Amino acid sequence: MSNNFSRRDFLRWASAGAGAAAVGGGIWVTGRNAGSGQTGAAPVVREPRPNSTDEPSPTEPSAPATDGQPTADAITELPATVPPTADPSARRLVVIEMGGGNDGLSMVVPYAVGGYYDRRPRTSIAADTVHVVDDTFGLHPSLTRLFDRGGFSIIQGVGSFAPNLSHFDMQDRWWTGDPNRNGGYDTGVIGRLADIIGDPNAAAVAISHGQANHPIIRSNRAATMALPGSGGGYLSGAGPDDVVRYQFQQAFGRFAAAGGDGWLGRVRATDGLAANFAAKLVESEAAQNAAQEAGEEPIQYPGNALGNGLQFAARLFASDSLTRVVHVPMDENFDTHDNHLDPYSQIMNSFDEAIEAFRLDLERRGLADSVLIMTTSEFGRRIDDNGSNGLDHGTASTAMLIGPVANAIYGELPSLDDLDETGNLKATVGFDQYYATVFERWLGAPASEMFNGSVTLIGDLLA
Amino acid sequence: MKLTLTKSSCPSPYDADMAEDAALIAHLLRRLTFGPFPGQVEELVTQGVTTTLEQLLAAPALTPDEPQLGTGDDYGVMRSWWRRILTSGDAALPEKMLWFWHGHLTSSLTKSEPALMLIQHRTMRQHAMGNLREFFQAITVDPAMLEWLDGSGSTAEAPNENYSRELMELFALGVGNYSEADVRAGSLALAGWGINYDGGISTFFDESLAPTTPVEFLGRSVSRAAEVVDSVCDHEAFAPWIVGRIYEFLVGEPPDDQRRAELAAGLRDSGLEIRPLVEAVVRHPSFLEIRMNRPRTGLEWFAAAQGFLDTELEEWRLYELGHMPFEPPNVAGWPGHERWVSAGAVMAKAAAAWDYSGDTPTFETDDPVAEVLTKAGLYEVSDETRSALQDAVDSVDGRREKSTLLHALVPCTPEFNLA
Repeated sequence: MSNNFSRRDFLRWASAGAGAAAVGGGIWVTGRNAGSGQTGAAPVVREPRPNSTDEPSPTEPSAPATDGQPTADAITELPATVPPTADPSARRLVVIEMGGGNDGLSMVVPYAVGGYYDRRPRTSIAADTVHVVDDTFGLHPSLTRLFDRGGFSIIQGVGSFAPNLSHFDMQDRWWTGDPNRNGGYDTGVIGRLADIIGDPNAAAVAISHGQANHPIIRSNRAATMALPGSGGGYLSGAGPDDVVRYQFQQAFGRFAAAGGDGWLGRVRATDGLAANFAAKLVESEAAQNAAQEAGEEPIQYPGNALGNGLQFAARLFASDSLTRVVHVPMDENFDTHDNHLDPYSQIMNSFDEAIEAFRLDLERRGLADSVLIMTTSEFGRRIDDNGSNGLDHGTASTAMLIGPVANAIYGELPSLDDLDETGNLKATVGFDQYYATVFERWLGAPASEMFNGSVTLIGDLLA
Repeated sequence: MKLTLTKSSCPSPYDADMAEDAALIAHLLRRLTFGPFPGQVEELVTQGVTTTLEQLLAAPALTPDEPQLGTGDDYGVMRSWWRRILTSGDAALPEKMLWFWHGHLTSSLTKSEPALMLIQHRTMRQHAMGNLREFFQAITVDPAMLEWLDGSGSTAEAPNENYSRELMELFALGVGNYSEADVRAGSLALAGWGINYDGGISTFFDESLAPTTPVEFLGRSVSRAAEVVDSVCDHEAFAPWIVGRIYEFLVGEPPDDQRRAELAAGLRDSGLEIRPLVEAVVRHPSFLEIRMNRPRTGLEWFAAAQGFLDTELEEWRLYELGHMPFEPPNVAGWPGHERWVSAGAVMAKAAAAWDYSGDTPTFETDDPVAEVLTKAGLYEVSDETRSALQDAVDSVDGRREKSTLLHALVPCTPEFNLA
């Protein structure tokens, strides 16, 4: 169905009756001048999509936008489908990590930029299959439900200005929030955020839904934790009549309370975190059971790491107001060195399915206006395909915010011709800017407390 | 690292010296095997620490029957086959070093199919305590590795950089010891290899897909995979890098610069032999002093808890602990100590220990806490843990209840979760 959307339909639908907003300053740019860095040559404009014939042809697509401001025709900044809650303390964040290096050019396809097709004879996505967002960009064909529901902001060119092509180096930089390796942080970026926004009474301000402790949630003060699937009932909730289980939980509490330093102290502190959080889970499980006994059909999520993590986040957010951030690493492999297209389509489909379930669940729980999703990935992929029908490690990529946000494109697509010395895209937005904008404008954590040195926020993203 | 542990009151019939020896032997078993398992320390303590250490160093490699593939779920067959060996109580130092190499020269079932992984596993068994150059030569053109890091199908015309990069970054040299130009040159010289699936799996080298002229790689002129591996093994950063990884695996913390340099020199002098390096690390007097200076890993906990509970824990629990054989999380293998200390893992362990505690044998003595700690191989336990266990067991009536409670609690004690 979405393939029948024209850009005009998209704008009309997304605006939901409100007029197009004026464009803010900063680096706000739509696809209109996406090719402005390209050696002066006009980007090749593909055939207009057959179902877009009611559109005026995109004339002069290479015309530089004056002062970085797009012309009114190209503006896609529109009110969000759901306005965000005005209460900052009610706002939550879900960070979805696309490990392996997400190809931003496949997630948000620059279908009207000729260089894209020239450089990727084997790995490009056909223009007539994308979900058209504007006259330059379209969502990956598998992101149907996301496109239909709307409420997404696209941020182009996110990366480091001094990148490295190692997964592990770049993951570490993303996890610590240090794009150019000069921050000297000893905390994870979400841990640092939790230190600033966390309520001291929270069992966990931030949770990573991974299998074990994750560097991104390492904090100085705030309680943060990583969580696998076990329920809370083992460590919390037994009454004195349930004698053995009660004594088990009592003794465990004493292990946790013993304190100390070194690894012994660390293990005991972690025991304490587990016991506190188990109590929260017991509450959340009780609420879920009560709802189901009252006849509520649970929303069906896909059974992968993303689905499980998002389901967990929805339930926890509904019962625990003090957990503010959930980090969900996807288990799909974005490292598509070999045979990029098919696996990538499957990943996008799986992503789309999980996001849709989550948003339905949030809607039902009355949380649609208070939960924002942000995507991260350590890097994008090489602009030229590699001959194995795949894409090697790259640099800048495309990020997405989903939820109560404007349907809009921010940042500037890096030139597909003016590449760095490794043949990769030059970032146009530092990922610290991306983090800082979300953390400050969505959660109220000042960028000046999060990052060393000054970080410029991204235009009017989330403003 | 400073521990706040206090020496346990020695379980009878040991005298104070034997209690000290028991603690040291338990430590050696934690580090050089996946134990200790019930009864092991008591048996070894009669012969003393030195003899035990030499015995553990001399332990022969296992020669297990290979798994039968092609009869159903080959992925499950592979996982459970090695899991059982690793956690059986027979796994000694060679198996532990094999486990190290699996986490260092990674490949995973998530990309390389079972038949490929089995071939790689044989190669690793052959070289785990052997010669590094031979090992790296073999693994570079191993079919599971060719699949895992995309060497298969990489040609000089369209070289794939994946193996070239990870070989230098993670496997052999470390960041800062090579350039992006080396990555590209390496990928060219490594090109031309592939996997042949006709009539059993084999690898092939097709010269027509390899470069026709040499490339400059790590300061040498090379054009074939074997020359790439030789250049890496002869690089000045190779021995210190390998020393660092093996030392951290065994000791739990990195060597200081001087020790690293000494061990690296020894490794080079030996012609890159693994066994003498391992023995030099383990025989150093400091090795007995680093007790409980790191967390027990997921698999170490799983094996020890399984032995303690005298059962076979379900395999999926290893997924919760994040330590499944043949499925390292990524090309860097399993991450460091931090990851084994997490509230999520605590909850998963509590669930496992509780679920299996109801069927444990009841105690034979009137000091169930001392009995259960000995069974768990815990000879150094804090007063806090000991008194919490004592108060718990005093709070329930009945031999069954006492056994259930202590068997559920001991795998959750802070001490059982350190190595």
